[in-house]
Amino acid sequence: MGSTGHHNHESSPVDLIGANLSFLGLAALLLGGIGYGLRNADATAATFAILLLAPLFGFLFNGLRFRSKNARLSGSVATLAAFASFLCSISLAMKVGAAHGAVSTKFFDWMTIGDLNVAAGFTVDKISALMILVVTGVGTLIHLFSIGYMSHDDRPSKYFAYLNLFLFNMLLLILGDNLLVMFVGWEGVGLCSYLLIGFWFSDSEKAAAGMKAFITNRIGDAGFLLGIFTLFFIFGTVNFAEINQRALDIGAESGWGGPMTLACLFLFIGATGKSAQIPLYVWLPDAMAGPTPVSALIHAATMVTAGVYMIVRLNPLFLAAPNALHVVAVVGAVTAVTAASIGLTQWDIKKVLAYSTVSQLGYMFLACGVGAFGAAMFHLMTHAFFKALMFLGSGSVIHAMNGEQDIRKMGGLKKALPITHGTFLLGWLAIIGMPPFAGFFSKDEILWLSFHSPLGHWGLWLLGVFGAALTAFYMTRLMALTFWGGSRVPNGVHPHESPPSMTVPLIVLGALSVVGGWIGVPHAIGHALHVPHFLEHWFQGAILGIPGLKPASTALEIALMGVSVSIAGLSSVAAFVFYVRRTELPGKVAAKFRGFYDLVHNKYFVDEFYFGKIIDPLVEASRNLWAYVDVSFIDRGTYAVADMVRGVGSVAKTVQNGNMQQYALYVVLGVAATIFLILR
Amino acid sequence: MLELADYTFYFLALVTLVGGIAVITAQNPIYSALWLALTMVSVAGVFVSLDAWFVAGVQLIVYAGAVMVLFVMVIMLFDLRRETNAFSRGMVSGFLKLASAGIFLGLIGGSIYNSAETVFAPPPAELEKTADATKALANTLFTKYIFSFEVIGVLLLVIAIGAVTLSRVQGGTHAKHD
Amino acid sequence: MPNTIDTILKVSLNHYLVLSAVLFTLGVLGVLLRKNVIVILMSIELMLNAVNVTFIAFSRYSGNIDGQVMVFFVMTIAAAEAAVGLALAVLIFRRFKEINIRYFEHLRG
Repeated sequence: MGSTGHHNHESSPVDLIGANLSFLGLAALLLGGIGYGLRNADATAATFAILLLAPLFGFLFNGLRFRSKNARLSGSVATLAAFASFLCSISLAMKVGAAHGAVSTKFFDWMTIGDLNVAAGFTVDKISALMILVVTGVGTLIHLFSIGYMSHDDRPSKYFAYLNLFLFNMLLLILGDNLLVMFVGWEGVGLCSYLLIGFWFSDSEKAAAGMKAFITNRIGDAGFLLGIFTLFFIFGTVNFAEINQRALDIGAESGWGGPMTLACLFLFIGATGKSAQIPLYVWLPDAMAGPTPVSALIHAATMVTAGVYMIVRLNPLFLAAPNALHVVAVVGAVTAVTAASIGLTQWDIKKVLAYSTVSQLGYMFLACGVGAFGAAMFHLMTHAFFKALMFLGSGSVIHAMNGEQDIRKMGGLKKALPITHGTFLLGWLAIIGMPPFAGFFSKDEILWLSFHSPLGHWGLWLLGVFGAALTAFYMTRLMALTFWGGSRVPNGVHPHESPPSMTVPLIVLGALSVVGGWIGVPHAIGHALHVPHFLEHWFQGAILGIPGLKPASTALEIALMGVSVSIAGLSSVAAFVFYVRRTELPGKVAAKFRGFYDLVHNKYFVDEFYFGKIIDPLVEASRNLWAYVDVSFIDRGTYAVADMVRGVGSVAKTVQNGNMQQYALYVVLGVAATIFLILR
Repeated sequence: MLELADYTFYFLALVTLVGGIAVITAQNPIYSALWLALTMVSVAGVFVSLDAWFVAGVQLIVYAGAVMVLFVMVIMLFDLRRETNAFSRGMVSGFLKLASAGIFLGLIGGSIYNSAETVFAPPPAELEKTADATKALANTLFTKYIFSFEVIGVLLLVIAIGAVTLSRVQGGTHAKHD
Repeated sequence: MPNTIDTILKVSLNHYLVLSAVLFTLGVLGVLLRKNVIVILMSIELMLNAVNVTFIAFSRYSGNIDGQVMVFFVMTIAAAEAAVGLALAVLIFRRFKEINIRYFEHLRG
């Protein structure tokens, strides 16, 4: 907890008026949305309207009474708004399931400029249905969790307003049926991310983290915009369905200079910014400065997966640019391993989870890169469950430890926090890929397809398995240092279990972390157990199959599965031994590989590299530009122009000097001129 | 052959122009005012030479009488004397002013010179007698121009009040006590 | 050529108009050149008189009485203008103890 405040459940009159006005506005807008749908006899449009507008109402409600300290009221409204969206998501997903295709609506024409016609249109297909379910579902749980977590904060209303605004923008991003609407949401979530990372902005380090996230994202956004421009240049449209159709018509393009490859690479730059991949991942670990539920919602479960979602959304386009896909795969795999290795050496509980998120996002991009878009979405979903769970768990731990985040000062919390520990355990099992937990199915599908897909390579598989081993190690280390072993809790801190509003979401997410993977049981296992691969059926038609995928031998698949699971298992055991049984070993190993350890512990000096080689020279160059171009050239020019104007004015002003006889002279001259003109 | 009326005109024109020149050149405002009075009177004579007897009379009463008295009263009030610098300063602007006035006069004079010869016809029979002309004037003024006449009357009232308000002195025998 | 000179000297409308034009120009010069507000007002009276001469001359030439009516109106306006102008002059004098036209520059906003 970054700040301490006192409870204040008394509402000021202003607060009450604001609340009532907001309620009125909320009701009016909700009715408007429903009315719009009913007038057009269009239940779908009404559902869309409520889905999108409910969080916006929540934002307005809490935004208008942002001074209120009533965390319970603010949180309840925000959570209800999120829950309303969740219900609408379920309804829409059922519609999509019944229709076996996309369900769309169009609210109005946004802009029509020449050939460019952009509608404020929204569409739910099988991809986005899964996505909105995850976002609103996990979002609701995290809103609920936040009520307890933020109860002691000074500005809970503001917090919940931002959270609802984030949800609204995320839904725009997901549901927009064209790239521009998506871009609006894309920027909106970036803004909310910035606001929430810097939520405790009085701490300059946290404010700086927010700015770092925002600026890094801007670099990616520039790439994303270039991608949109390129696509419009090629296809003359920004609509997803049309782009995908044209890409299918044109077919795969070879080489590196093709327009579609270029567009895909630009879009991928955008994705690396938003989804924290090499080289733009540096903002995400710092983003942990925000409140922990924010880290769970935005920086683990939803926003950071926007890049993956965007690529999956455009899967026919990316399949038409195989070279771009190779880049995506390699960047994803390398990120997965690099981030995981940094995670080995971090002492901040949230930083470990942050690097873990970067690593897991790398897996998703690896899946995209080998053409396994379904697997990417699958992992996105399971990751949302278990990573949100672990972030909330870490929030619970931090809450219990009065704000302490250093795992060296924890240990043995198993007894004090039984529910947190139990659910965290489920998340841990899921992320290290133990069957039958959620992470096992999704991660294994990625690993298998990166090996088996024609777009894949055994090297990618090797990186993936290595990353999985590292993941198992650092997650076990985290578990061991936090919950197991002897207590290193400082005197005076008495860890306590969190209130139900915080533990209920943990339990729900824990359950999902267990069963979430069962909708995507691989054929190799499912065949024997007669369990179908639900997700594959679900995505049929929405996501293209991998071109040229040969039927595989079940034995090979199971063998590879066994390899990865056993390596991960061994790695966990090793970590358990290191950090619980023989706690002197990590220090010795670190001492033995001092140089390498320092390199990893300092995150490969990437931040220092960026500052030293890019940011500082840029600042220096800007300073020189200011001094030599702006001040001595442009300023001088503008001053010269201004002086000239002033000179002309000082001459011209003598004409109008208040001397009335001179004015009379003008009159005479004017009359003379008039007479001359008449007589001429 | 030139007749008496022509000589009369030249005489009146001479007096008028001399008077006008003297008005704008006299150093002392009181002399300007007196020269103006002379000009007014001779302009009244010009009116007479054009058979506008009634207007000439009004000219004498209103201008040479009332307005002139107003001017002289103000000058007396201020106790103005001979001015050392009666004219505005500035050689260039003075030259410009003279030049523009000259251009103005040249343009008008040129246009008059180029226009057709316009000898006066004898006055119409019904305006032959002075009394008839005055009656016709009154008829026109109080029928065709009655509205303008009334408006002018209102204007005079407004001007009277305005002039009093402008020059009202704070204090004095009629000051408001409060 | 006594006849030609006679023709030129024989008084016609044009002679009156020339007289009026010269008188008007004298008024203009007075307005442009004098400093004293009262003299400027007198110059304006000169200009108005010049215009009156034109009105009467045209009235006589065209045998139309309307020109004389106009002269009435002009005289009325002239009297009104003189009253207001002199009132302003009184104010200026009271403020600056002198009635230079340049003091009217203080009227600008």
